[in-house]
Amino acid sequence: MRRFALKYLVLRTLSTVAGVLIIAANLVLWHVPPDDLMGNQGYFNRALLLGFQTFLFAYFGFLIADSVSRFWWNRWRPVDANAVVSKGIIIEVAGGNRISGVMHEPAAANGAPNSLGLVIASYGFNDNQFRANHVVQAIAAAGFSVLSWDYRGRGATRGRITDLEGHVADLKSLIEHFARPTAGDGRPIFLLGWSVGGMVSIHAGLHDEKVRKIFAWSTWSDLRRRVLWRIYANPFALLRYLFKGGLLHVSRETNEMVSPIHYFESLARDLGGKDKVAALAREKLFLCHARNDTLVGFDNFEENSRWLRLPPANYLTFKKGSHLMLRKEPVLIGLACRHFSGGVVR
Amino acid sequence: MMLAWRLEDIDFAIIGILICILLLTFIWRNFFRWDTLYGLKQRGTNQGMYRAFEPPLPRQDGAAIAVLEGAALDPRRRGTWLVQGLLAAGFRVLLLRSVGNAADAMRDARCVALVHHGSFAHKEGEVAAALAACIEGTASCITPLAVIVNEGGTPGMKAAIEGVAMAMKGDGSLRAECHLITCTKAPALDAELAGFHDTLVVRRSKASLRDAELQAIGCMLKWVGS
Repeated sequence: MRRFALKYLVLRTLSTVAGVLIIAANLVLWHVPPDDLMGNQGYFNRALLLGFQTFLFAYFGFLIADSVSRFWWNRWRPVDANAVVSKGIIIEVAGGNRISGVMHEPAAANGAPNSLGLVIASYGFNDNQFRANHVVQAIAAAGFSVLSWDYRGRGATRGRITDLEGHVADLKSLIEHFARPTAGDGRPIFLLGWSVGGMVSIHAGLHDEKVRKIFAWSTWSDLRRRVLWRIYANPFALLRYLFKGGLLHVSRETNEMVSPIHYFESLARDLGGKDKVAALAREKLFLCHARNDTLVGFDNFEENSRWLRLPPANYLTFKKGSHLMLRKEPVLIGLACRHFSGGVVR
Repeated sequence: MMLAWRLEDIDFAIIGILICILLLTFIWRNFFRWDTLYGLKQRGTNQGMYRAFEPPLPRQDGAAIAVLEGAALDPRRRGTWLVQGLLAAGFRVLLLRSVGNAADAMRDARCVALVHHGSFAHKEGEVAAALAACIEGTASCITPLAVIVNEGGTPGMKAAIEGVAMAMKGDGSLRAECHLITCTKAPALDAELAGFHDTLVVRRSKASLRDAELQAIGCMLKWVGS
């Protein structure tokens, strides 16, 4: 916590100093004597107008850069294939909440069982159905029914995308819903998620006996301590979160509720020991992370796996791939299928 | 005429940058789409007629899948996405170089996957014969299972259908269970694909499984029983 406060203070001080220097440089560039600044409405109006214009330039510049980056990183286009049947659904869960999503079912083959189980997939904070399609359809092609559901503020689900506790509550409701024999046909339930989706899956499924396995990648351990400062320090991520309405502040109380490391600790208190949580994780959890992840750093994975004492059979790390696990997608699909099918090491 | 850098040239600079972005995107999408196996620290060991790759987290039964790469180019690059997916699922992968010398590897494998690329104009007959030999040879597998992965477009699909027809016995059945992953321009007819146990058919205008590779891995794992 102290380290986080120190980083926050240093960043805030540096940005304030940078702001003052920019103003001073502008005064010199535009030949404005400091005396003229006081009591001159014309200068003030002009400065206001120029400031607004600068903001507009920055905003439109960001929009262009954001569009280019999305086009650049989003390598997967929709395909017309016969292996998967996808259908949009709205699920009314306990409490009257309506959660939208897309159900991907494997196409029935000659005599093959229709589905090996239900995988509930939770995508990342900046993702949507389109960006999750390539992963969930591949898992569906492998014989699982896959529900890719929308967080609050995405799709037709109402609420704010920053309501992380709400997302966890929604996933718990979905698990309850599909565990009912009428909705899930008694199929085993698996959870899959990345980034924020990994956190949501761990919180909702680790201690729930209705969930058989969890597969997560690029997820965090402590949001305030190990992720937020990276967003502040990354100008592009900061602009994205600032302009698109995002995760700029997480209170200490919320952080306790949405950080796996705090969840493990509270679970250890409830279950009566760290060993019991570690045993649960060994039985259910598989983690992946790239060493060059600059948004949710590799230290998050290290902290989670150290706390859980995860054996090598329960994780795989990559040297490259970044937060999005680019070019690692085939490996993730293989690992997920292996984990859900109960792959056991020799 | 003297060329001078003027302020108006900034327009050309912007257009140049956009063209560079497009070019880089094209390169990124086409040439750097997948990691090489070396990215997975996989070099494989030479076993004479094939190269064996060990999975990072092996399955309990130690099952192997033989992958026969039909491209003349370095097979360790062309079939990378499939090999990566199979290795991650815990299978040993035996990478073969041709149908003729594959018998040793096939005996140890649960399945043979035949990946073939490129244009099949004027050589569909040869390809069909090779496929038929592969399907016949597959019958010596532990679980006789063949998967044909066609990146040759519609002609490749026709060659695969012909290959299956050639490998059929008198009673119209195959000695091995045969699956097809293919891309095709034309809508595939159920009657044409009746020889295959199951198929993944991607409708597209070019001979490529691009953007459907992950689904292909999923189907493959379903068929071999991950």
